Amino acid sequence: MKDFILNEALGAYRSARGMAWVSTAVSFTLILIFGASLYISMLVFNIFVNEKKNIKIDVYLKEDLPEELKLSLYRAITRFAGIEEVKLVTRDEALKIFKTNYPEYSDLVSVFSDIPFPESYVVRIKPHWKDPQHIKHIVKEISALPGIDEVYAGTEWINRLSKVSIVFISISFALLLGLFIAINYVIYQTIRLIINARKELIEILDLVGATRSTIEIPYLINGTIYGFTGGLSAALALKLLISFLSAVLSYNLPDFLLIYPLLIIIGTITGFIASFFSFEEVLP
Amino acid sequence: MSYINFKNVSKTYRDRWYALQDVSFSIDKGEFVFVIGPTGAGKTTLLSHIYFKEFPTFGTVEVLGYSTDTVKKKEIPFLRRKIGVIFQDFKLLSDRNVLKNVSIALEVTGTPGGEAERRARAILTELGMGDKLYKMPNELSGGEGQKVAIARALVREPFILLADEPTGNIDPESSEEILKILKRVNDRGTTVIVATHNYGFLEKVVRKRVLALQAGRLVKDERFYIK
Repeated sequence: MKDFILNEALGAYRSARGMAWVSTAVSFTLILIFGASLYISMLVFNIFVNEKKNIKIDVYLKEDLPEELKLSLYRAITRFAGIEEVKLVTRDEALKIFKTNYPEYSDLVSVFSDIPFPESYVVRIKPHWKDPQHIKHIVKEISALPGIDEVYAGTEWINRLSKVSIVFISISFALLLGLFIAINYVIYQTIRLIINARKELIEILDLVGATRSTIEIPYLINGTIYGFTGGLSAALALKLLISFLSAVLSYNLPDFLLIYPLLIIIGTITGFIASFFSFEEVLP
Repeated sequence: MSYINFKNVSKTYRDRWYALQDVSFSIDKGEFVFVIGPTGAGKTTLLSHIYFKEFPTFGTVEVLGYSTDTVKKKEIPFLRRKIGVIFQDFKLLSDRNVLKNVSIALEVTGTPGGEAERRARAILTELGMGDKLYKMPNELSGGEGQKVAIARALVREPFILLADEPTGNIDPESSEEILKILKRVNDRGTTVIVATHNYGFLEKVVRKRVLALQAGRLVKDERFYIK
């Protein structure tokens, strides 16, 4: 029976002729579009996660604060919920950091008679408290403390990145839904054509006592092959595209390994579902 | 022992037109039954009820222990494995040779490929088709095509053989040969039911039963047995 099922699955592929290629090509194109969209979403999301991980609040102090006030500020800041670490950056340390980060401008600061950077506290937040709303709240509270000149958290950039990331993910999933319907439709029609072309065989199999599953499985295999082939070729094409862009941009684009099996699985499942419904419709 | 029971069977299409009307009879093991009647009398519909292709609108059909009242869809293939069916148009697969056309009936029900081919070869040889195993259906005459269809129906050694106008598409000489084959099958104990409007056929079978249909009604049920 195994031989029969495999032979029929291949026979069905031969019966489909041009439509088999159309099904595979459409699956490939649509899954590739989804894969590319998902890759961009993951890229933006990755940047967002990294930025969020490095988020900190810079609390700039007014000049010449007495040590007691600095200490009481330190204590007040550490008392806020979700604070991981509060570290004082002296003016000398600030200068050192500036020179390290911007060596090309290191001569610029020598024109000042005094160090032009204020003292500051660098406040690090615990991972689970890095919510933009919470950070905004802490910034507001710290700003109201005496002796504070300015508080900077850079959350606007993170917020914007978060919004962009959500938009991309939404687009990807809308695309996923659209392509799922489109691939389903094409494979569904192909299998329908094959079943209609092989109605004579199906009628005879039914007559001689073949079970429904024996009759159906070759067509399910066939539809699944279209989806699988489309998914596999889209995964390979996406991999090549990322390598190509990395070479062209001279930038090592991250490779999200999860995407490739996901594309293959999506293709395979879509092919299976489409052929299942096609068979159910033609031969209820 | 009763293989087939029709109990007050009626079949209507579009709720108006009666293909069968209140038909009741039973057929025992080893009978040779002719179902006769003009075109449209309900012969094919009656045969279709025996292999559960059609279900009655009213009444019950019981075949080899399966009843149309209680049978589940998934059980029907198992009933059909016990029944061989042949048609006027042979219903052969044009893309496979004679041997494959017969062995497929075994392969799809779980017989390994080698064993299926061995049994298909044996039955085809018995029916005089041993030298045409690798011919394609379009290379066969009408009589040969029907022999292949009979081989496919018999290869699983069914309890019942249904023949719907088996000689409708073949020449008189081949028709005689087909009838001889059906008689031989019946002599081995298989119940044979032949739907035909070729009344000349009836005279060639001595031990027979005739069911006559007219406009879906069973108008005659006669047995011709030599004691």
